[in-house]
Amino acid sequence: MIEVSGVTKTFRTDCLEIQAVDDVHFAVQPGKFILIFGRSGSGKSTLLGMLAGLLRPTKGEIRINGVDISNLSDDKISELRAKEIGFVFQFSGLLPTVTVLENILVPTLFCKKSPGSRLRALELLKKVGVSDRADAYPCTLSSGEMKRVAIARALINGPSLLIADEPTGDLDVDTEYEIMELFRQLNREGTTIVMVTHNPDLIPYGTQTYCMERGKMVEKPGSSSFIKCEPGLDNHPKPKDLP
Amino acid sequence: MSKPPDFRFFNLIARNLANRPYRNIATVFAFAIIAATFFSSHYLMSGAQQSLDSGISRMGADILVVPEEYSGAGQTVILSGTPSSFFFSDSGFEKISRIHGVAKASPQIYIATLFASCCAAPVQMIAIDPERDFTISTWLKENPGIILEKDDIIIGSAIIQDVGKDLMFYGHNFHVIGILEQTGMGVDNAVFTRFEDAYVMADESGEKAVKKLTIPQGKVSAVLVKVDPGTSPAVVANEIMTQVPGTKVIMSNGLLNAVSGQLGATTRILYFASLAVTIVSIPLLGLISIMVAHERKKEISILRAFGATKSFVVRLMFAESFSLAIIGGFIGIGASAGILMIYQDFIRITLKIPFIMPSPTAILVQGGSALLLSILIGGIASIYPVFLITRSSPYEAIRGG
Amino acid sequence: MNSDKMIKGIGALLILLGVVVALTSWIIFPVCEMHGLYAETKTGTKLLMPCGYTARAETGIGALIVVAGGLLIARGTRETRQAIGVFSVATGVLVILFPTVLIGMCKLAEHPCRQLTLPALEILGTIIVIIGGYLIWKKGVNE
Repeated sequence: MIEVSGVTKTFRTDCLEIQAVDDVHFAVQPGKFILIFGRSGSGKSTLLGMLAGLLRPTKGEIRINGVDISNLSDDKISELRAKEIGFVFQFSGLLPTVTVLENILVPTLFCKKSPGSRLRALELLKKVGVSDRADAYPCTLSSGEMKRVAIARALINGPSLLIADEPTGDLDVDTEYEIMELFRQLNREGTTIVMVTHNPDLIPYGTQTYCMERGKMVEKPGSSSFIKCEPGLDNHPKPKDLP
Repeated sequence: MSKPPDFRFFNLIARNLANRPYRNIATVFAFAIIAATFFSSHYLMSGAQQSLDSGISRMGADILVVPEEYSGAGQTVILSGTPSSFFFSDSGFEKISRIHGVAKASPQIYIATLFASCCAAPVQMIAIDPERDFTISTWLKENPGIILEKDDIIIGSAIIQDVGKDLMFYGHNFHVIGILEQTGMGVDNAVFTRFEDAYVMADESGEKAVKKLTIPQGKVSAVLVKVDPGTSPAVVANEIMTQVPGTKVIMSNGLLNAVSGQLGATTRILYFASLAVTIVSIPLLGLISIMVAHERKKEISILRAFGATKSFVVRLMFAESFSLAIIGGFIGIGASAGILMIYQDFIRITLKIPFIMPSPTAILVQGGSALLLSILIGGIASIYPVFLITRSSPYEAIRGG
Repeated sequence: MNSDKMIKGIGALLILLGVVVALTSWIIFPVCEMHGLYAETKTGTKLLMPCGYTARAETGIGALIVVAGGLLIARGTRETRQAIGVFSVATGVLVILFPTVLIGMCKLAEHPCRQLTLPALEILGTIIVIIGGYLIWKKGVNE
């Protein structure tokens, strides 16, 4: 459902030009749980930003469900994001002035869904395990609870794709485990997930792993030396092993 | 169980406004001050103008003839109702009546009372000849069935007494038979009675009153003159001063000028205050909006990440700004209207301007204008912050963490 | 803002308002007798005018409002809060009624009591009624 072809992103300042993503090719099939692994500064979050339509590639093409988003107008991309893409940020990103339930409902403002969104939101809250905090404000939640609410929010419009940018970056080990189990469960139920992480311990959760280093996918799919990390194997690339 | 309501655009605005109380209270206060200043200045000017219009028409006369040495007192009797007693040595009433261009002439006697029976402050008593009077007669025609008879008085609106009750002046009891409409001018502080009753009161005052009152027989304090249609009041006024030495004339447009001069000074101050507040508040509110926009960059970026278009963000920010402007506007207009209405008398007496409460329509128009100004300022102050926010990259703000 | 702090703040505000109500007629916007204005009989005896009696009544009511504010600070439970709310509404109404209906002020518009004292008491009474209404309405969280 996602095809990334020759995508490059260059950031230009007055005196500097940085190629954050350099000629990346890959594809994501429906129902997969893709992990993009790499160190800080490898370009993985920039790639994610382009997948979500928040950044335009300098070169190349990104197709989501057959639609080339690289050249869509801002309004069209926004419409696509509202309908098709759910986003989980590194920080929880909950709006502090609205309740937990209302936070989950905020994306429905941008997508004309059928009535009953509030019931669906309550179901999602139950699914992520925080149904008793519906009327609470985010400042009273733990970081794990906030992350669960953020996941529920990302799912309210029934997106075909869930994008997560280092969602466990600010969590302790136990909570990280709980959140990753939640992602695994959602993927088993059919949600396509693309997640970015710098934590190699999370690689076994994905059905497929890509590695990024200095803006490049280390190996292109199809290449003989392409590194794929299968769950259960212990030969997954550790940062020091990457060329 | 009924279906719970969905979350809408205005729910988001209401939450954003309600859950940032300290910041929003400051903004609302600023808008309240703007609206209050603008509304107050227009309210006062409108009330003064309305008072002038009704007061001058209540006077009914084109020219007021008074003794030369009492022309100032004559003016204040009409404008502010400061009680005064004075008499012509010889009013030349008959001479005035016969001057070419004079349609009607009506004599009046001005008596400053010692106090009304309830309170220790004098009121202005004006004794009239009902046969010749054209000041109260107009009001009497509008209220048929009321006839000024023995010991009857008609009181101005500022005298607090009910129809059918009594008031005592110089020990003499008078019956209130009517109350004039408010004009905001001197007649509000006056009581009207007949010449005969004034003389009886004066005669009895030696025994009944604290201080004896003397009204010289055959002498009057002033003569009100109405000119023939098409005749210039100025020409007639000149003729009066020529033929009856020792008199001074007060013209209705002269009164208007005197009050306008006073009013003009007050008006200029109010307009300047209004303008100053507006000029200062736009950049101030703009600065607050920029700070808030900067603070909310991440929040707006999150909304954009979930599919909010730029136009949604623009609508959200303007709607919040307009909401604060409307809330502040209503508070400012309501508070200033309440205070101005309650302190109406104090304003009139302190500023020495004629004043009555403007008509409901005028108040609505003034309130509406003040509210629109608030909203306009809210919009202007938000333009740059909205521009900044929509130009910034949502991805950068999100990555900023 | 913490609910408990807000209730204490309202209590302090009531104390302040009570003091202002008590002092308005004597110091802030003095009534006629403070300006040397009295009603005089024929024999020259000076009599208090209605505003003087109103001023004394307002002093008493102001003191009661101060006490109510102090009670609210000392013990801001739900029941106390609601009782003080009802009491504030009642006393606020009295602050307005004393100078307008129950006792009255001087009748002439030029008198200082009518120009300044009466409007000030009307405004203060309205504020106290609003505060009382808010106390009755607000759901307390501290039991």
